[in-house]
Amino acid sequence: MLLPESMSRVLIVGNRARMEEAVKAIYDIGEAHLIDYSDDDDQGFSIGKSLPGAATASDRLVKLRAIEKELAVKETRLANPIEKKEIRQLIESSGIEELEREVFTIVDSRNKVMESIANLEATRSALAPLTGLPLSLEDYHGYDSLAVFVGKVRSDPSPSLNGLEYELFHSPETGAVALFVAKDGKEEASQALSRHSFEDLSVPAGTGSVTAAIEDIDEQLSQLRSESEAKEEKMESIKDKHLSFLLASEEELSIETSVASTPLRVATSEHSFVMDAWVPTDKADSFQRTLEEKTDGTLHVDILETRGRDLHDGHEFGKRFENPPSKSNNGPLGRAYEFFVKLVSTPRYQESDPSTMIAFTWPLFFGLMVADIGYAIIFIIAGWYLMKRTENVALKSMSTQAFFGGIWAFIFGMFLFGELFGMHFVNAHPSDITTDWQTIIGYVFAGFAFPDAFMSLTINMGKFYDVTTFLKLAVYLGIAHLFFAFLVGFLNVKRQHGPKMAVYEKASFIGILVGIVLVAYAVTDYLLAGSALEGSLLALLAIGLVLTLVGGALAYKVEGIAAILEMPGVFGNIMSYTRLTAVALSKAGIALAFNYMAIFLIYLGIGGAIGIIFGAVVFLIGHILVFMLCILSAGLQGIRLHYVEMMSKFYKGGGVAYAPLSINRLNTKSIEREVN
Amino acid sequence: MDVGLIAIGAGLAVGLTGIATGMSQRDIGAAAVGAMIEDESLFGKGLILTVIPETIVIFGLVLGILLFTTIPAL
Repeated sequence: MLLPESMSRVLIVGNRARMEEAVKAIYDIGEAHLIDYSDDDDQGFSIGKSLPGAATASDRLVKLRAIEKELAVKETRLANPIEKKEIRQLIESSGIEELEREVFTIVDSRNKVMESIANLEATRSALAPLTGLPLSLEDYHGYDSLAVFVGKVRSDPSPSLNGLEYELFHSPETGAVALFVAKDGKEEASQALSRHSFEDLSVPAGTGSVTAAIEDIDEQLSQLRSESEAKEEKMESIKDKHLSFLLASEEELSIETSVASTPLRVATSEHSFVMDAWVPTDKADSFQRTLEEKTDGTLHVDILETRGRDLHDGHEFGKRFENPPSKSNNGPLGRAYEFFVKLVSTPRYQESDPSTMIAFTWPLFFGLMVADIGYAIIFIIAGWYLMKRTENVALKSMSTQAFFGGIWAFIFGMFLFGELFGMHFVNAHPSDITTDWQTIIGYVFAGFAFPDAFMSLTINMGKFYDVTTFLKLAVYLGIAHLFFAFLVGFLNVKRQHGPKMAVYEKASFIGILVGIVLVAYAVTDYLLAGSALEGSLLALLAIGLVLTLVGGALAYKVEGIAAILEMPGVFGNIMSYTRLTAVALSKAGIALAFNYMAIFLIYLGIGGAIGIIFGAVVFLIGHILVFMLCILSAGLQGIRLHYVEMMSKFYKGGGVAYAPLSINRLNTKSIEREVN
Repeated sequence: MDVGLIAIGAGLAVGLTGIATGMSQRDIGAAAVGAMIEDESLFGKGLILTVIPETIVIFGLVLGILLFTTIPAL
């Protein structure tokens, strides 16, 4: 169940002249994961040439994507897929080339308009500060003996200009300055101005007042803007009109390009071609038969081997054939968690896929950390809704986790803790600091009490009161989780390297884990509970020590000093699971604090009506905050326990995902197959 | 007197371990984000490395809670 599907290697040999037919037939079947051929592999073979039409198709695809980029087309799914024949006809009759002309004519003219707008805006912003000066545009130009400085300054520059012959106009509001000096004083004036942070402005040529010039520019701008808007609208209407054509032809051309370029991954000689591919073992026979039938027996299809899980298998065939692709073999539940495993790495062909294990224990951990009916119901509803509605893989995986995590949170919240939004139904312990729902509802409906039948459903454990029990529960869960992880690791190594290595590498650590647990149990019982170190306790201690030492010795033999360094890590791993309790407590603590604030305001009548409203707001915001914390802390800490503590015991990853040559049509449809 | 000391101890356990975790996560997190910019598929590995020091503060928190529950008033 947990291993990727078994793969068989097939060899397909045929006449080079009939390669196109063969490639299309393979795409039709959609099960062969092609093993790329590289030139240096065998002598006498070379890489094949792409099928006819590949160049045109990829050329058109490039044009199409350029159009789509200009029109800002987003990848969507069409409600009515277009018939393949129809879209082919449109493509063949130069539909893309025509559309390209149409779109880029508009794009070019729009770009010209945008450029004019940018130029005018630059001129306008250069003119704007000059409105404060009593000069016309023609005053700034056309002097023979004068140097003109126009720009902006931080402060009035006249004090720095002593000793110069000049005329200065300065507007303190806009900071604009116009300085006219005799040509021979130019250097000096420039230095003087720079002391006042002078910024040069270039004044456009023209006549009349600056204000009039700006008004003129504004008029031109508004005209150009409406022009560019019209162009945008036109682009939008083109996009709407051709959307289905764009999406469908992109799909059709992508398929055509990938089919046509397949021979580039295949070995060919003068008259023949040779393809190597992986096919799932249970489909290998039917693959062989179907392919031979489809090509009228002109192909020679051979099943060469069925690859085992030993890492040494297949080394004799060369590097190309060392790593079969891994095709996940999970049920519907495990499939939803493949996303989280792939975040780390794709499983290798020879190792167990942790998805299904995560699917069981992550929601459990999440539930234990949330453990509150109130939040649980929100998680269940939100998770279920998103799970049904979204197509996005990441979102779907996360909502599945929210849904199942919510169910566990409900189970723990109801039956173990009897808790709703951070408060118990009925306080189990008189000394407990928390208030409870029974008391609160009792304020409104005097004498209210939860029925005994309802209360008998819950153990009513107090998170703050029974901390030690809760901590123990977390540690025991951790031990079981780690034990299971080492067990899977044992099976993995046994498969990959044989039983002897499995004992050295993984059984050793199972011994260390059990040993450490026994020693820790005996020592805590002796130190904390004060039990005498004799009889069964002494025996436990002895067995624990022996197991740890034997395990350590076995691991030392294969891993050297690293194994000894890893041993305390096992203890750390176990303790790491106490985060289940820690997160649950911190979350419950924050919820409790908000509840207290709200209750004081609402029920104890502090602040009258305003107090009630304020209390309700505190309650709402507080619990939204805690809910967010649930997602962040419970979700992340939960997956972390899997990534770090569990998966590191058996999972290496780095596999190749199974990607068969196949045709996946969403926006187009084809009644006929590629090859009949 | 004892109660106060216990409470201070619990606070120190959580606070100091929190600082320690923060210091280590700062460096790891920065490196992880840098690596992710280069190659988005490193998100999972980056996350694993970033959360490893969290164990320190979790131990602090557990210790803090254990200490806190020994305060007689509770």
